[in-house]
Amino acid sequence: MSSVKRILLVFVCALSCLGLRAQGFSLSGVVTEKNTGNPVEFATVLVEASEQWAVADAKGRFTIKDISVPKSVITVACLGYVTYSIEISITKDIPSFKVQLAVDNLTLEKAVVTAKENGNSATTARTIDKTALEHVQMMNVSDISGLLPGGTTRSSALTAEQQFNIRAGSGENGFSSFGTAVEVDGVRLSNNASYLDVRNYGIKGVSTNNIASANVESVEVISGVPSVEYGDIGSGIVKVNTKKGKTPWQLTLSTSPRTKQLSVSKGFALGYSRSGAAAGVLNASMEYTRSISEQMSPYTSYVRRQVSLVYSNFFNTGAFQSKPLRISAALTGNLGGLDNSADPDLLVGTYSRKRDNALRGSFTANWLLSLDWITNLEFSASAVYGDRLASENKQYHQSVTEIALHARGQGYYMSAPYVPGGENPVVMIPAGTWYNVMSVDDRPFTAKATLKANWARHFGAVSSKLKIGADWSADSNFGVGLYSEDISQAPSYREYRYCDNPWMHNIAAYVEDNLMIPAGSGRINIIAGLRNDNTVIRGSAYGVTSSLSPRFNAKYTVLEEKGRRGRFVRSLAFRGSWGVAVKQPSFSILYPVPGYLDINTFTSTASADNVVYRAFYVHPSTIEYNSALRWQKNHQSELGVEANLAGNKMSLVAFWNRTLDTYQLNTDYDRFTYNYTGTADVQGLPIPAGDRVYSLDPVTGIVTVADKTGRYTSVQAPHTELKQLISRTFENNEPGPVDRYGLEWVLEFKEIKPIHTAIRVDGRFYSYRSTLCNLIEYSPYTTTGRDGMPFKYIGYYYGSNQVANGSESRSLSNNITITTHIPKVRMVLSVKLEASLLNYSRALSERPGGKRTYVVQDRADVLGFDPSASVYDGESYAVLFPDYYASFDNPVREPFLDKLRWAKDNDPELYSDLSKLVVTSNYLYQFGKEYLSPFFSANVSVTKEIGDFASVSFYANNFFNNMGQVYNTKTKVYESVYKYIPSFYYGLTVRFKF
Amino acid sequence: MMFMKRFVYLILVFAAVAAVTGCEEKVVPLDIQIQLFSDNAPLAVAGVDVAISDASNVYTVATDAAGRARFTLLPGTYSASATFKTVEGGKRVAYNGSNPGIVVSNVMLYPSGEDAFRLELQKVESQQLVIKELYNGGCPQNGGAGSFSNDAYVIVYNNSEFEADATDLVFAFMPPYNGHAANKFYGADNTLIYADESWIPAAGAIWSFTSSVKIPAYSQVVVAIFGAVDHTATVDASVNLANASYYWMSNSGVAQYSNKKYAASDVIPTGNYLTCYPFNMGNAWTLSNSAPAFFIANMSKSENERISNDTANFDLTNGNTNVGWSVKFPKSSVIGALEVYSASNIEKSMPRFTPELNTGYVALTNKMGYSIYRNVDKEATEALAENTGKLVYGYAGGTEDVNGSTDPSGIDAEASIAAGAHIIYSQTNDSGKDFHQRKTASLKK
Repeated sequence: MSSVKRILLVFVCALSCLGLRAQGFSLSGVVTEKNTGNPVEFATVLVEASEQWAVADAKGRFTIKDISVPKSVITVACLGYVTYSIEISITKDIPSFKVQLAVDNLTLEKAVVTAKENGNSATTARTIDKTALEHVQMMNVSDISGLLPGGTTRSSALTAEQQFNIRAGSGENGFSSFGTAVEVDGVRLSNNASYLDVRNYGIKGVSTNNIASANVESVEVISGVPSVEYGDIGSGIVKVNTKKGKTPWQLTLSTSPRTKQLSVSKGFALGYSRSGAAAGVLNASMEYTRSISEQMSPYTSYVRRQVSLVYSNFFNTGAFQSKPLRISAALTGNLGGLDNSADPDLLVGTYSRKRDNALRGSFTANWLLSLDWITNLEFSASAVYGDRLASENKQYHQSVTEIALHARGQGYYMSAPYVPGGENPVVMIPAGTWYNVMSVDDRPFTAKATLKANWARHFGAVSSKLKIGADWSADSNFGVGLYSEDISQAPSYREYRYCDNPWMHNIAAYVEDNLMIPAGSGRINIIAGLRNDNTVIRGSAYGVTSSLSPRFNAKYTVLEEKGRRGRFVRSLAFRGSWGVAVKQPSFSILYPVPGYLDINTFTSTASADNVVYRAFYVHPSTIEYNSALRWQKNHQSELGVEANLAGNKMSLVAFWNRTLDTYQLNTDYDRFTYNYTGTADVQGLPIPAGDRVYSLDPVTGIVTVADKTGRYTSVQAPHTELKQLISRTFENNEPGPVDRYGLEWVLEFKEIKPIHTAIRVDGRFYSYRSTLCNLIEYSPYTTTGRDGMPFKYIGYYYGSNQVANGSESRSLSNNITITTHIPKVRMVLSVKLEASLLNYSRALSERPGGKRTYVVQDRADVLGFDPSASVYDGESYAVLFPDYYASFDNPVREPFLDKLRWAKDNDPELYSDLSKLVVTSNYLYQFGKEYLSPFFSANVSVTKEIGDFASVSFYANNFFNNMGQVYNTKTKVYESVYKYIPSFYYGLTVRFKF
Repeated sequence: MMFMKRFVYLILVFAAVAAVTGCEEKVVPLDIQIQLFSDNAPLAVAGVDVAISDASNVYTVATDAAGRARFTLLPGTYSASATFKTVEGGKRVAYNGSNPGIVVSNVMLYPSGEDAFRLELQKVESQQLVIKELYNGGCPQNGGAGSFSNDAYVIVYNNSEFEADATDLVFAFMPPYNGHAANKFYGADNTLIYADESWIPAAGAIWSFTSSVKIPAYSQVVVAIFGAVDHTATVDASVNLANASYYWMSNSGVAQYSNKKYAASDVIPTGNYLTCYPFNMGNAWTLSNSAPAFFIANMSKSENERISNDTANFDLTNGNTNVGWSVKFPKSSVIGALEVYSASNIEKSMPRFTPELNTGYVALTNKMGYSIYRNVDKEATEALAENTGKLVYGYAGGTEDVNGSTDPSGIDAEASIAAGAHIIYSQTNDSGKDFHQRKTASLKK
């Protein structure tokens, strides 16, 4: 017996001894297929009230013992079948509970091709199941965003990374997509170990491109306040569930103008051992997807080759007879990525490739203990490893010596020819043409382990489900960052080994209770939880950061649907939620790739063979640790109402989210004086250019010219002392909140039976507002001072050094989906009209207690601003003055505007320089209200099953090929509607089962 | 009756006496003066040949310091004319005019209150210094693997027979960087917002010579815009700009430009480095390699300094932050303008110069080694007596065979110059008429 088994057995025995067996009744029965009567093996039977469960054996039989709840909803689910639920009383042993499961296909009376509201949830959660996924022919799981209320359809190719962004818009403060968590079969996909350049790209959420789409069984989107078991989130969770269970072979072929897909999958039942124990089920799937960005140039492609194996089994014999154990282990590998090497328009031999390889493994064990103090114990562990090596082979050319900087230490450096094995801080690459491959080795790794226990109890009619858990997660990156295989000809780059940075560990503990209290003919559901996260980053200034995330959900079901079929108000429920979600930072925030300021302090003339020497002062501009950095928090709250009125279902949710302490990269300035030697300073020296050897004092930067032939004596070149401000950046928290609120509605009208047609109206009103408040330092670097020297003044601006320090937007979108489902011909046809009825945005310039920007008529006369006029009234130029300024020579901040006024009359040179810190708007309509006229798009989808053997789906987005224009009230121009809706696009999928 | 006969005889005698007396009167030459006038004012220029002619004779006399020519002529009616060329304020100026009504007689019919005939001369101005060639499009790299464009240069030519002073010459370009880029200077009425102003916008920086630069008649200076080195060492199709007589826009001497990648050959003396007056845009001087609006101007160093630094002279139309400005460059200082459109983007391109500076455009296909070269003023060039037998015709350097353009004069300017001819280039202030796309840069030997 292995040590692991031994430990497990001891643990089982200990629990058996410690635990007091619950007294209760048993539920036994059989699960069969409705039409054939065949047993449904591996069907899961769940007693929802007590959270006890069983798995059906080869004959469809199951038994759940020690049920101590008087009544409960029994849910029976199995892959390929419609989930069955029924509420029963369990006041005695039930020996022969029979369940018939219907095969999930279009012969059923009901087929839903939109997102379904999770009616039992106390927060906003929606599920998109297999029927809907197949109907929309999802190629990227983020495509399902279009099925959420007010969602719009995209026809995106996989050549661009796609992310989820729940209850937020693009281009907003707060990095909302970074805060949207994505899980595949419980495995968290994270971008925490990303080193994406924050300065240029912001912080994005995890890409969904490498998640195979054909093997997805369902996707659940939790937009509201989730359970405390979900940590490291900002707003929203997307849970992708793949197929698990016994299935026939399934072959899927999809095509659209830009994407082709082939997938094969099967769920193998592995039989039973001689002792009668189930050997489990192995689900295997393979998918090949290739996507191009443009039909006209189909050479830049993204390929996804994915293999997935999921083994699941349950143990209910021997030691586990009374305490069954269910396990699942999964391994998924993806090979693929972006590649443009086939593009004939590129220079021969050049290419750009980016891997998107991934390996995901997970293990989950759920042990039904059914003890008085614990019901289930669940352990799960997962690891995700990514290989995102990005390589680019480029052609380089210089007609004089090229300089490549690799120096990382502060100081002066003179360029020198490459020395194999040497330090080579500043390499001279001989003039000519050459090729070099630069790569970014980015290999993020995330591991997570969770131990969770739940305890279902009853206090009379009140039921309680207590959940206690702890989890540990760790993020690291095994990549070495930027590198070249041939440093002798590599362009400037600095080594920054991702793998040398410390791991980020997070240890969390949480507790949550889910109370169900009967109330009249309805019930009240209260969920309250608290999560504590402790992020540990050893070896850095961040140390240990602790945060608390309380969550609270309440739902009052006034009327339940059961027994009210003939009534007008068949069900009615109200709910409210509030919670705080804390998002851990990414490595690009914690350890951003350092930047370097390379000041060219000397450039020689070119010799006859075009050799040029250059000297540099290298100033590492590393992003400083901010030990006071707080983790970004999102306060979520929502109110909802759900009702069934005469068979018409409605759901209305109002939400308000406020994100605090958003991550923001700030800049401050250091003062630096260096010695500069101009080309003219060495031109004309008696030493012939070809014989010169340039050397440099590494401390002073003074250049000495020597004659390699020895004919002339060495000469020290003259130099000039220059002063320069050097920027430094650091991660900071922005105190200005990011506010988002909105309304989501879904109206599902009762099916019009004679024509098998249902109408659904869903939509969303969304509002966003954010202004920045940090005092921002800024010194323009593309201008000189009045004295012709580097600019030496720094401005301190409220919120931003732009005339706007924020923005607001509002949008209203509404979709009408008409679905005709004809079971007899096994076909479903849907037409979805997507309407954008309000699309508003406006730049903001605000500060508490006063004006931040002023109206100015003549931008060259900034002091002629009108102190009383508002930039929001009519069209006008706006001017922003920094609050303070400081100079290279005087770091003390002085009030800006008074000094500018004084300088205008008394110091023209200072006035000229300070004027360069004044920011004006470029357009008269900078703060104008931007309304877009309404625009529409219609999409058509049809799915037809051909017996049980095959099905075909076809879709056409923007079916009517709307090529209209949208009027922009701000710019007063008409724009193509294609900027907002997809152009006519179509796709076809054929599925075979055998 | 007898009284009547006597009276008739007396009259006949008087008549005969009178007739005999008249035939014997002597013709005396008369002194006259002709005063040059221009714009209704005396033109005091010495040494101008004034020609005066009647049906059979032509007399020529040079003017004195007062611009006056003195002739001694027999009475009669003459025609006076004069023509001369000079340089005024850096401009090539031609004066010419005639007066066909010079009546020489004992009683001179001078204009009232004057003592000389007026010879009113018309003043025709053209710039002495012109942009002869702009090579900015780059050329193919060896083996056709990409293109190379660090070899840009501009040639300024003295289009006159007088020495030109280029010391205050300024080089600049207008925003937007490319003619086909979005042009924010077009107002709501689709006209340039500076059309009626006294300025045009200049982008990035302006450059000027640091030393005294004199350009002899019909001669040129070459200014390397980026790298003043022998580019042919690495790119066969490129040009050799390592020449001691060439000038260089010394990017490396500008504190503002952190990117100092352009270099100059050691053979180029320091005095040939140009000074930069940067005001913004980028970390290095740059010029569009496809569609610039390039111009030259005459402006003093102090004025260069002022317009580049005086924030009141900034124009923010093209900027979106406090560093996006252009400067208002005085139109009156501009002496040469070249509007280049990208051949593949002509329909998207819009003029940047105002009509008094330039009309029309010349199209450039970049990356092919083509350059923009000024056309020859055929009539004026052929009119130069010293060109007899030196002009080379049959110009085949144009690109009309690849949908480009050529010099309609048919004169091969470079070959003619090599043969010792003096070339006068076209100056119509229309880039479309004044320039063509040349197959190879003129410095490409």
